[in-house]
Amino acid sequence: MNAFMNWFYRMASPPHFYRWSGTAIPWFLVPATVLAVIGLYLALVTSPTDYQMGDTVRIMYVHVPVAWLSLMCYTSMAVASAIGLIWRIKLAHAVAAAIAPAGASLTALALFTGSLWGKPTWGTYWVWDARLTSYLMLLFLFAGFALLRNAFSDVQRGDRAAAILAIVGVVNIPIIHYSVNWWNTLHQPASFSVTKGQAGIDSSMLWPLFTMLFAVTLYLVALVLMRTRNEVLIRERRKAWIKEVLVK
Amino acid sequence: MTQWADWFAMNGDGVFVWPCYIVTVLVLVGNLLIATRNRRRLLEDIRLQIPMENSR
Amino acid sequence: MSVSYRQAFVGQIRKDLRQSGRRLAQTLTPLFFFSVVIALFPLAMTPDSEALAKIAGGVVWVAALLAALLSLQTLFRGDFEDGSLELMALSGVPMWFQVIAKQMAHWLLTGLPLVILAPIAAYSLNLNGDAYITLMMALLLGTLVLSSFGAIGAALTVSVGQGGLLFPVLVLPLIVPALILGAKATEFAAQGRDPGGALSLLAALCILSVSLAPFATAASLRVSLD
Repeated sequence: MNAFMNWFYRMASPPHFYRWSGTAIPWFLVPATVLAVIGLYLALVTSPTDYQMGDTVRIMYVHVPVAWLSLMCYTSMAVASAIGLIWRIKLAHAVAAAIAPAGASLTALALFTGSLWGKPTWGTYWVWDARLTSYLMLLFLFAGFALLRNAFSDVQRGDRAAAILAIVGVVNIPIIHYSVNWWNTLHQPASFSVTKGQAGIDSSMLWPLFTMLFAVTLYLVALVLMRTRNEVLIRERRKAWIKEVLVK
Repeated sequence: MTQWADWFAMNGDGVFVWPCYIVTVLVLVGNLLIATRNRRRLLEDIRLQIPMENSR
Repeated sequence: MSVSYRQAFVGQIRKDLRQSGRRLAQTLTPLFFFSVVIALFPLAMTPDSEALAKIAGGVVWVAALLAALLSLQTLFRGDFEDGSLELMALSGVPMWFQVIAKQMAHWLLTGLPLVILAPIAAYSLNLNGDAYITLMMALLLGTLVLSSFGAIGAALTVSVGQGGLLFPVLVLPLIVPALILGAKATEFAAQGRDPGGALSLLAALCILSVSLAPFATAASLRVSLD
């Protein structure tokens, strides 16, 4: 345990992180691109049309990965925030700050693709469906986190305030989700459910889905590393090691 | 040629499918571009700040 | 030097009540705000009493929520500006404990009057007669949830210049469950259905937020004080 913590602290020291992350980024970005190309081909060309939804089922291959990962983003943002608060690790706050805009853009994409999927299946771009509504709330939570962090002129204070908000939010997400679900079932008897058909989903549809999911995950790791490096630069701009790294 | 047009039209669902893919790709690539642009700006700022501090 | 917990608790509530007694207009503002918002709905939609009856529960809930938030926004502002927040932090009594005292004083001044005012507002909107008790019970629980989350938001934004605008953005998504449960309980009662399920869920949410939120509020206040 101790050895692990030592390793963890060393990896999390800003200069060390800055160095290893620089070499790590291409190792995520290149496979992400390759997988995305394969995934796009599978999703748009070879995958079959659904007997109920027709070609709109292809929206699933972008919508589902993006929606899953946006929720993942919030959870990891809250975990990073908690680590930052408890062990006072500056890098963890930088990671949380880096995830927020990425997660917000994924949530917005999930809403956008969801409403484009809704038009042919429900007949309207927006319904106050449980999923759409909870994702709208998720978008607001991301926005609140980013706005609160930016409202402080002192980076470290902003980090800690936003971290508390992220933790309060992550406790609330299931409550919001279940209450919205409960509220929604009162209004919409037997609306079309995205997950319903998935128990018997054909492998010809699973492959493009998982390829895309994997591609977006790798992309996200690369993006968060890039953004965390930027956050480290902002936080450490007056430190000596930065000058050593830059002036060569 | 019509084969491609058929594929593109997706039985009329193409209007919904293509915007999803295009906007998603644009946003994901845009995120990367913004991150690299920010990085360039930050590095420029820091480079400018070094000589100022040395001259002090 | 160390003050007993009870002394600190009672002292804090007394101080807040006395202060708001001195600034009576400020204390009453949320209640006026509540009445004005209620009056806007018939004007904007329809004076038709049947149509109003359908939305009465929801309108009262939204108005109460906005009024409660409006007043919670400045929960710690005064104490932050005159330095009593720092005294609170140094007094040796845990911060979360004093936060509960402040919340309670605030709830006595805003939450409770809203609960009492709500039936009158609901009557003006022609709410079904069976729903009044449920409305008041739901608001009693709901205002406690609001003040718990509102306190977190107020503590987070207390040292921020633009805190006034930021506050609702932070707090509103967090109190969606309370709004849904409270408004639905009222609606059920108005339709003659059993509001028990929604009310007990709201009670659970109330217990959860009242017992956990003060710790988050105290931590947020400490961020602003450093």
